Amino acid sequence: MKLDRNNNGKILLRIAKNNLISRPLASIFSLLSIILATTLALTVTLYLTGTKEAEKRTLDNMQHVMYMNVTEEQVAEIAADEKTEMTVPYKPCETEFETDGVRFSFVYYDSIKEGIKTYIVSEGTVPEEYNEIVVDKAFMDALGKDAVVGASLSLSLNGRTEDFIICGYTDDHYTMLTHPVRVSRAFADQSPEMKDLPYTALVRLKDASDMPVSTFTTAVYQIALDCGVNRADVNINGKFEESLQNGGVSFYVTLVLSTVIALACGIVIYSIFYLSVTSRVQQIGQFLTIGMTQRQVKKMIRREGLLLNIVSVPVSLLISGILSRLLLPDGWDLKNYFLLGAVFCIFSVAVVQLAIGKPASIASKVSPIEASRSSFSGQGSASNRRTGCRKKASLKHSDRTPVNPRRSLTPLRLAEMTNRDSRRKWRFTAVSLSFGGILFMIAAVWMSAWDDEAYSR
Amino acid sequence: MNILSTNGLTKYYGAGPSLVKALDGITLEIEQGSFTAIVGTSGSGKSTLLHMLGGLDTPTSGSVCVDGQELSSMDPNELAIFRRRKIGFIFQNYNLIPNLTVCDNIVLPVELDGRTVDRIYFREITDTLGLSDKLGRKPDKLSGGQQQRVAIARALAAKPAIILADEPTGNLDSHTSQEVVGLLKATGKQFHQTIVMITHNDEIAQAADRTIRIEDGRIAESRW
Ligand SMILES: Nc1ncnc2c1ncn2[C@@H]1O[C@H](COP(=O)(O)OP(=O)(O)OP(=O)(O)O)[C@@H](O)[C@H]1O
Ligand SMILES: [Mg+2]
Repeated sequence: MKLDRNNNGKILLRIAKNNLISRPLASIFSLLSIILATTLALTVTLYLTGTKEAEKRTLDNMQHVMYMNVTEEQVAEIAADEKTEMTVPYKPCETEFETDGVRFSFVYYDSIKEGIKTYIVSEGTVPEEYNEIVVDKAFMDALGKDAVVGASLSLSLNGRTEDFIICGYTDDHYTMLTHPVRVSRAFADQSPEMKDLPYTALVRLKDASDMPVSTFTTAVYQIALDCGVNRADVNINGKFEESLQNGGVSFYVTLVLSTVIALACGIVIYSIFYLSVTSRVQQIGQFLTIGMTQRQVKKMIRREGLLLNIVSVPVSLLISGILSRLLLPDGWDLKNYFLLGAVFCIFSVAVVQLAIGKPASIASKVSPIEASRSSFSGQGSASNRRTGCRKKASLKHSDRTPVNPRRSLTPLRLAEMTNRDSRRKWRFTAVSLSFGGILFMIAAVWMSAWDDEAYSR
Repeated sequence: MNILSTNGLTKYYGAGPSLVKALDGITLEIEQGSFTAIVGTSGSGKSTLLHMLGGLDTPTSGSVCVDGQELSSMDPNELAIFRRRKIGFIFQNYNLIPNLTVCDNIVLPVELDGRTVDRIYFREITDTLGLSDKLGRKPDKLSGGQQQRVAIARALAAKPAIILADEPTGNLDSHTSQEVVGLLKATGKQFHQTIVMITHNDEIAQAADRTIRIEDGRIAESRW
């Protein structure tokens, strides 16, 4: 006879489901803490990776370093350096001018969409002739004019007036007080206002994102040295440098946070199941009596945890998805979401199973004769009282029946007493509740902390 | 032929001055297909004996042999499987699983064994016990007598060789008691089962093939 075979799983799942339904409060509480914990951990992780993703997307369109006060020849030299991937000449004119009460300043760089994003002409063309310019539509609004391609515009510069032709418009609607007027290279090189100003080279280095910070800065200063740029004129993009520095930080934050949350959640699940198992000693005894094996008892309790996960995981995924989408639309990445979602699903199941392990093994150690101890099923008949009370002599019953000194105090007996001692029960509930509270507080604190940080950026 | 036998069975609780000899050397043999009633005063050790026979508890010394198998050689998992295949239990408090339907309760031992219920047999027992129209209900919606009939159906479901019943009529009125015992006896005969039943009711004991009286953990009388 193959005694250990034939453990049918389906019936266990059905019993597990019934067990959960028959204790709705405990189940709901377990569900809530799993949902809360999973959602919290997943949302924070999504938020952190989202922030990183958004930052990466911004940095992908920015220069790594600016070499200021350089000549056209130096720009060419920098562009020729094999360490650089992209070099953009840039000439800002710091002098502000004013026309009809609207402030503006000249700036020269080419229209570039990728790598180092400058400006994108939404209508018209880029400036090529000396007096062609590109302005934002907001500038025309401020001047009270229609944004028509080819319109001429005279701007009063200090002491003189220059007629320009607007060859294109941008649609950025900057909120800056000083409107940028993008001029042609000819204007930048020849106009009295700009011809004596130095160039700035906006540079992206090859493979810089994968470099350690020190390698990156060394390369940056090497280029400066090679092309005769003063050290003081080297302006490294701080954000980019920072991104090289703390690449791993958010990973550790996620790890520590998830561990704390997992611990809190695990303790809640542990206490709930501990309580539930000790209050089910008789029923477990019944299962054992009619032939459930210890292994099946363990499995049944574990299935209860699994069912809780099956219900709570989709809810957590949904909430986390919506939350991180709302918090951080720029950093939303579907692939990331599914990947992290899957990781945290497994994590959540693992934590619950880990927490249930001990209660499940306690349950499996219940003796089948617990089933015939009848007093706490509350069916009081004459013979029940006769046999029951004697066996059930507990502290509470001591006024009626003396505690039987012959009964050994096994852990099981203790567990059984826990069930009937409402004070003990209360203590457990209080522990569970307070951990739930802690979990909730961590949630609140972290959410607000991350919000603050987002603001301070 | 003996389906069940014990040899020098003892069960002691506690030690020293507080030692309780719940069973103090029980040697008995029970014939296949017989209906045995166990009687005795409260605390005489009847339930303890029944637990030993069903492999629910382990004896201090002595042996229990069921259908040629020595129970002391089995570990808890093997005992559980032994129970669900060989033994049907009926208790005074019915011991039904409250959140499962009557039908689920009845088939539970069979399903735990990874088998499916023989439908014809299932219909036969539920018809005999008058449960056919109550299969979808939860046990707490049934009367005591009906609940005990469900417990009998469950004990019969796995076609066990032996039915062990501990005061199955303890919570029932005398009329229902007679009815339940009648059913138990009838199904036992119909399905060739051996029945061992503890009872305080003399009338019920009269109906048995054999009566064993236990006093202070010993067999005081065995009457055919
Ligand atoms: N777990 C236990 N620990 C200590 N003593 C026990 C234990 N279980 C039973 N006893 C003792 O063993 C003796 C026999 O108990 P048992 O339950 O077998 O009596 P019983 O004949 O079934 O009585 P009743 O008719 O009241 O059900 C009693 O004295 C009882 O107190
Ligand atoms: Mg008894």
